[in-house]
Amino acid sequence: MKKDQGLMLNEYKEMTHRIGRMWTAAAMVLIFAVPLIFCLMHGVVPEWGSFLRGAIAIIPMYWAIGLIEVFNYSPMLGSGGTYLAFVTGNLLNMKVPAAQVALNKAGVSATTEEGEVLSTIAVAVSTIVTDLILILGLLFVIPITNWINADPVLSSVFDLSTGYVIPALFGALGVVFLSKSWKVAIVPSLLMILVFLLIPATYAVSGILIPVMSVLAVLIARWMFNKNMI
Amino acid sequence: MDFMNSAFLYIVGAVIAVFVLAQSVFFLVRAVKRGRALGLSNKVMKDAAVSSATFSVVPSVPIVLAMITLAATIGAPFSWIRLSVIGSMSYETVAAGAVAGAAGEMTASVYAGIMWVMTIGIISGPLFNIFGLKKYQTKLAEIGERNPKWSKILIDALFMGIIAVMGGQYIAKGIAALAGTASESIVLGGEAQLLTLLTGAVLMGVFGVVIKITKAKWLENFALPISMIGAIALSVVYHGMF
Repeated sequence: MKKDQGLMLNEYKEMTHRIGRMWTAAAMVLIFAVPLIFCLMHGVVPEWGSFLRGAIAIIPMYWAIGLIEVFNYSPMLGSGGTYLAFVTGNLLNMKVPAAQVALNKAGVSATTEEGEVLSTIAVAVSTIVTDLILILGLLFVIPITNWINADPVLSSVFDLSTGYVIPALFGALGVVFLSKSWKVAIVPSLLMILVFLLIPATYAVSGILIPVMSVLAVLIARWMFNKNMI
Repeated sequence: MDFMNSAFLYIVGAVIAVFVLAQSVFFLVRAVKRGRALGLSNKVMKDAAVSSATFSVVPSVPIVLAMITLAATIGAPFSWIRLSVIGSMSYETVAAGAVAGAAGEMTASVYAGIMWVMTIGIISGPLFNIFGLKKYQTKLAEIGERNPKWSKILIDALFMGIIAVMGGQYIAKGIAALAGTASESIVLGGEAQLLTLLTGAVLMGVFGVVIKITKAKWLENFALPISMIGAIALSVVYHGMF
């Protein structure tokens, strides 16, 4: 590790990619080992019928989403942050906002050298926090389940799709970034509200709309940039 | 269905948790060393770490709850594993639901199929990183060097895409629910979600003003988590209103 200090920019970047690839490859081996060892231990092969039905239901869509996520989020995470965040997951609701909050505070962008350092720190710390909380959660998994299930209000507050954690997050986060660059934000936000109001069916596919909207927001921003409006 | 909660799976889960923690610590230490070499002050780096840590606590709660919910379908250890590596609470819940729905009776062999599908389903992002991220990041860095102002706007705009969809969705849903323009099942809970979103926004705005006036920089780290907790706490009230 000592070697990193005083490395030239290109050497450091080269190292980041080499190290990132190694850790990612190791993580892949590890997660594939789980079902493999399970099958060997129990002496079973997957039941192909349900495997295929499940695979058709989710794999094409999630492979596409996974790829789009890299293109969409890696500019905000930097190289080190991307390798780390894509092994640990929860990008939209955790890693990307955590990195953006840290970068915003320091006033740097993720593509700068300082931003690369700070976003990696933010993603790493965020991962450690979530992992420790997951371990705690596991210890209390039964009592917590019982408590939340027993309380109808709590179970609806923390419900994944109709609950209130995600609106609370994006309300608070929205203010920070709207006040920072409202000119970039205003058209995409109004457009999105209009689309959702006119075509309520789009709620169900909001996840797919994110990359579409990001590209559109970039195009609008580029147009405004060319016109010297921002 | 002991095979879903076997000691073996718990041990594998522990190994994976240690792996993820080790990777995070490794990248953290490496970034801090690089930061020092670049002349970043300890304070700036500590600020990034503290703000990320305080921010991450609240959004972790639904992830834990997702793990608990999933535990009923696919067992506690595998849902722990799935949410620790490349996990995303939305993906895992949908995937487990889709696969379990297609499965029927849960035997070890059906369960093995579920594990394989959920594992194969998540690998496209990391796979791309191994082969293509370097090229992509190099391209982004080129844009940054050629036109730093545009590069900053570009990243802001990408993030605005997320904010516009996530925020806009709750605003539209709330308006539609209040005006009664969409079917009730689609906008269920929309009023309370909109109020929660607005509460989060107002609290955060108040924090911003207070920090600006009092110059209490230390408050910055608490602004986001406290605004979220405040909004979630009030959502209990809103939930009862509609």
